[in-house]
Amino acid sequence: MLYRQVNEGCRAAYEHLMQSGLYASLTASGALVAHEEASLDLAAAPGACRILRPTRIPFVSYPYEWAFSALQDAALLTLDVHRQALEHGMVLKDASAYNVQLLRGRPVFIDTLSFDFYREGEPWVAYRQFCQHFLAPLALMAHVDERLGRLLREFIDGVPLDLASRLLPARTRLQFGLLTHLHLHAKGQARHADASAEVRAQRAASAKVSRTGMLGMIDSLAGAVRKLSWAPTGTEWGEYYSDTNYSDEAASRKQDLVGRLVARIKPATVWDLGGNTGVFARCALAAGAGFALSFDVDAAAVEKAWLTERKQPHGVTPLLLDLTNPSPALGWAHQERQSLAARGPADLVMALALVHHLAISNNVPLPRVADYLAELGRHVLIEFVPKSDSQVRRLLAAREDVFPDYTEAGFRAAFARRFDLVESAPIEGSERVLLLYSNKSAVGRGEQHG
Amino acid sequence: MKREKPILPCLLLVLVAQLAFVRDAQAYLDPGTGSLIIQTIIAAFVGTAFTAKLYWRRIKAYLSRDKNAVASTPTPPQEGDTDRG
Repeated sequence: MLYRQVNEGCRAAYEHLMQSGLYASLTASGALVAHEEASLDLAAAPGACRILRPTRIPFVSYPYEWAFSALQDAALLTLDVHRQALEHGMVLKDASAYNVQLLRGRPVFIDTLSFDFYREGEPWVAYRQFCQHFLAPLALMAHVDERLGRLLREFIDGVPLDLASRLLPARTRLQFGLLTHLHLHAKGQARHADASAEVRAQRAASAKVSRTGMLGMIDSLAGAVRKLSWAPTGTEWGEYYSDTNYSDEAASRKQDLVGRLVARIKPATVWDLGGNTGVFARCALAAGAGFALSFDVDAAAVEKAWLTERKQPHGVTPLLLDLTNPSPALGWAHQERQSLAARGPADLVMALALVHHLAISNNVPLPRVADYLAELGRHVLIEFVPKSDSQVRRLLAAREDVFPDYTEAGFRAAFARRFDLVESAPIEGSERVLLLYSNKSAVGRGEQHG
Repeated sequence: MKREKPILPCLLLVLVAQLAFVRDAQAYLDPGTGSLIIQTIIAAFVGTAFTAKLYWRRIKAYLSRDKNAVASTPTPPQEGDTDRG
């Protein structure tokens, strides 16, 4: 259970949020997470005036795991929440991307305590943070390389604007939004950085922005964000399922089989590792899973999955993940952002046609694959692809076969150390086999997740 | 990245049951002097542009004689609401 404590100092702002109609309007549209008030007895520290119990988000994901369009949607949501707050005499006092979560194809603002009173003339204190958390990474992804989104993993308070400005191509100076909010903004920061603390305090106190100016800033930032776009180049876009070893018939049989095995477990949470565009995560939901995540290392697949979910929400959250270097614990004392494993375990982890990539392309010994999956899931559903399969042959074509243990028997032996086999089922029309395992250790067993 | 002292310590994020520790999530944000100053300058431009945009929409709506559109177009800001900077 998650509780948040509102202290006396924030009572007035919280009450205004609740009584002005802002909370009702934001929660009705799904922009803000709803909460209930709980007993003050639950206060963890003195000075509490309210205890809130927000509706639980099934899985907390981080901006460095999002598709380009998901980060863009989160940016626009933040600006919209700020604009609506302004209409009710309030502002967002921070604009961190971590204040947004993804749920059913939409971003949701989760920080109920980010609202403060609007004071006429005051500039937006979260302007710099908005640019660092949203505009800079989006601009870098759109104008330089999508992979620069990973800078968010290194810079936990967003991409420094001087760095973004230096990395962006000169042509971005021709766009008013990027020229002002990134390039000039970075210059402005550098210009005032050397002043003494007193001088800076004086300058900051004299900075005034009218209400119209504030509305103009929101409009301008939203325009700059909307103008950015990223579409994967090359042939991969949209052709994921035309290049597999499955005939249509075998593919449909695989989906049926996955559905049947998922239904056997009745998982509340499913993590599909190597989930591609989310096809099998959706398949798991159709089979009765409560909530599904689809992880993939390919940003194009994650983008496509997000766009699909945004268009027609199924309940799949697509996330970018390199399983050979998964999201670590980050921030102060490694406690600000959780590692992937710390956010689990899932009731069911699916790894369909993934293990050969780990074992052969990335040299991970099969017992190590089993060990890590045993940390992540109470059950795992694996599709084993044998060496005779052309996909594996392709991986081995360019290198020496130093994987004598990569056989179905070797795989089963490696997994038997950590898992009990529940069922194995060959996929008709292919050489592959689906194996459903139950974790031998009590990884998070009995705990509530999701 | 700057981590300065909390300006307005007022919030506590409390994770009960799942996490054995209590995390302080003090509401603080260093807006950055340079960011504030540059914001006043940019806001002066974009505020004016924003007002002009709203008037322009009203004019276009009027010219197209679509009364519904006129009614639904937001009213541009009024009362000497000018920018400094």
